[in-house]
Amino acid sequence: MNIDEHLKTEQVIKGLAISPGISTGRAYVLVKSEENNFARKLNYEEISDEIDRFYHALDNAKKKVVEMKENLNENLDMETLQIFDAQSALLTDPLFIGEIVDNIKLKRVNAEYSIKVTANNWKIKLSKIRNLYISERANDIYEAAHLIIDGLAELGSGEDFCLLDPVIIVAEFLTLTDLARLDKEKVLGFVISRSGYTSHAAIVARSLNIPAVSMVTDAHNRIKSSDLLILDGLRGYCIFTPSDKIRKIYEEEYELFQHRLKLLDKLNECKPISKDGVKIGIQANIEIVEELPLVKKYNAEGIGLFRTEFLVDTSAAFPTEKKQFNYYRKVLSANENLPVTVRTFDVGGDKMINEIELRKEDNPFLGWRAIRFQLANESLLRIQLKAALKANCSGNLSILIPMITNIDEIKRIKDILKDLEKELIDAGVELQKYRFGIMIEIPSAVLLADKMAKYVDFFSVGTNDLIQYTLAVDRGNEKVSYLYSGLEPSVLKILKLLADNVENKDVEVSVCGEMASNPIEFIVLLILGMRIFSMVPWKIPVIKKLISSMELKNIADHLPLILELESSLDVREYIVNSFKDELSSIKDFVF
Amino acid sequence: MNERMFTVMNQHGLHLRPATEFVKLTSVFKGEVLLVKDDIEVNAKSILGLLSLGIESGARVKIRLSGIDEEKFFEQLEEFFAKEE
Repeated sequence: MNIDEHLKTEQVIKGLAISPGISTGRAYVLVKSEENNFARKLNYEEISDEIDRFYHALDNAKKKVVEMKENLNENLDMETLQIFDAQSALLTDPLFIGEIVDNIKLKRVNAEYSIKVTANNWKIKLSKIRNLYISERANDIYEAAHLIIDGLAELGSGEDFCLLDPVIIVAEFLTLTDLARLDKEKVLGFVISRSGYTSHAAIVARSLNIPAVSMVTDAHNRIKSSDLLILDGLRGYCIFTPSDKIRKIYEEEYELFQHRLKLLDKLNECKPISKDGVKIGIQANIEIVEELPLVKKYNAEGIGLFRTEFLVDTSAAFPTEKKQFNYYRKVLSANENLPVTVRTFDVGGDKMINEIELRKEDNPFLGWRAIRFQLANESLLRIQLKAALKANCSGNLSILIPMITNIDEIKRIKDILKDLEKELIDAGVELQKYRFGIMIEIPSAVLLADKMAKYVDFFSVGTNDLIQYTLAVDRGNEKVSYLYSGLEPSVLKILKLLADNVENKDVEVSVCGEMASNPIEFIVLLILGMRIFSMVPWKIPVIKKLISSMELKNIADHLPLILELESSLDVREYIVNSFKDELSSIKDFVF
Repeated sequence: MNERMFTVMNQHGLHLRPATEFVKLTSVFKGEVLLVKDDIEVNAKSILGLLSLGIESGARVKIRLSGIDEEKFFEQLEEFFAKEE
């Protein structure tokens, strides 16, 4: 009898398996307090408590500034230290504090909202001042405001996140902030009501090897804290108050999965070198600092894609230079010999400055996002690039720009970089070497790659978006997602065009999209001549094993043949038949 | 209450850094410190109030004090405003 048969007599919800693994444990239902960024109307009786809460958080914020200053004292120049003094001055500013408290009292809103509104008003006021020395510092207000908001978050939900025993977290959805706050050691799994395979929660769960099931309808309402659950992240099952019989079965399933993980560790010992000695570059995509140990564990030769959206998603305001600097520094200094590719913010304008009301776009994927937004708000781009350049203390930084459409954009960014370099050198900062590259994800960039090559050190092919834009398919739209495939003949052709366009050009090409970690698609990329790949850390062992079972010297011989094929199914079939042995070496590990 | 005019000598005006210094100074004063520029009066212990005036180099500002040791404090202010950076 297979598992599905046994489950007929159990209470099961079928969801979407978003991170593999098996776990059994008590549920912990995460009741989300009011979303910090939104206004909550207070009852009259709540007002004085809310004001106390604010002052408490304010005190903590002040202490934090003093602490930060003391901790950094020895390593920082006078100018930076004075920024801390300015922060202290803002946190004791009678007007600022007075207005926040007035807002809480008179408008009867929560402290977080009141702080945001007040900070925003002052920011607008200051940014209008013609003295650049003042208007450019308008963002400092935000930094100060954030220290208090962070303080409130710690007060408000501190106990929610203090997990004593290992539990299965049940929530409607999880933001990156939630994930950052959870003690991951104590998390046995995630059951989420909504969040797709590519959500942050899914990415984090997979990279930390925590089983997760999503799309469990109404999970946070149906499950009660301390209910016993079995979570099957392989098949997407969430089993309530399981019988002893099914628990026993799942104990075996668990052992089996652990065994597979051990085998996976064994695969990790493979070198990314083919049977005939061709070396393939394997790097890691990471999203959060917690993934750094995985980069090491899987012997990635670098971080081919360090996404920075975390900083935007977890802040109510645009992250300051200092905040970004600290974050990048952490990753860049984790291993000085490890190249780190920092990609500038790849999100829509709405996420970038959510304090400004932006018109909702009809067509966001073709709209104002990533570098388009940042070039329109050049000061924000400058802050990010400056933070990255400053954090580059050992010369292992690569800067990667997403959503490049044309050559003008590249030229503008290079001018900005030149400008920043000069500014930093004038300020006495010792600049280290760095590389500059762009994402190839819009078909126009493929068409212009031969010309773009002379402006950049490297191209990073973002296959997910390149497929989406080539096929005009939103893969998140279930009605058309069947059209989405990296094996589409048109996708193969566009990748071939890219390869032709960069031939004999002095530019490195790597692939950082999901095609790089899908074994069949990975083989196609090898056939197309790609030799450097970046992928989520946990997929690295399987890909390394695949490489070590392949012969690569003549693999390009397949190219004319696959380019003749007329459908993605034909391409799949061709690869599966031509690389039967190679693919069978990893068949147990494709989950 | 006592008042006196000063000229801001800082070459970039009263921007974040000098304003921080200024607030450090005024917050020690026991009493009220007001700064007036172009008929707008702000609490001189508030860095945001000061910054919002956008005080440029060479600007004339009036300081109003009411508290303890006003004369001594004016001298300190004199010294502060005379600094060019």
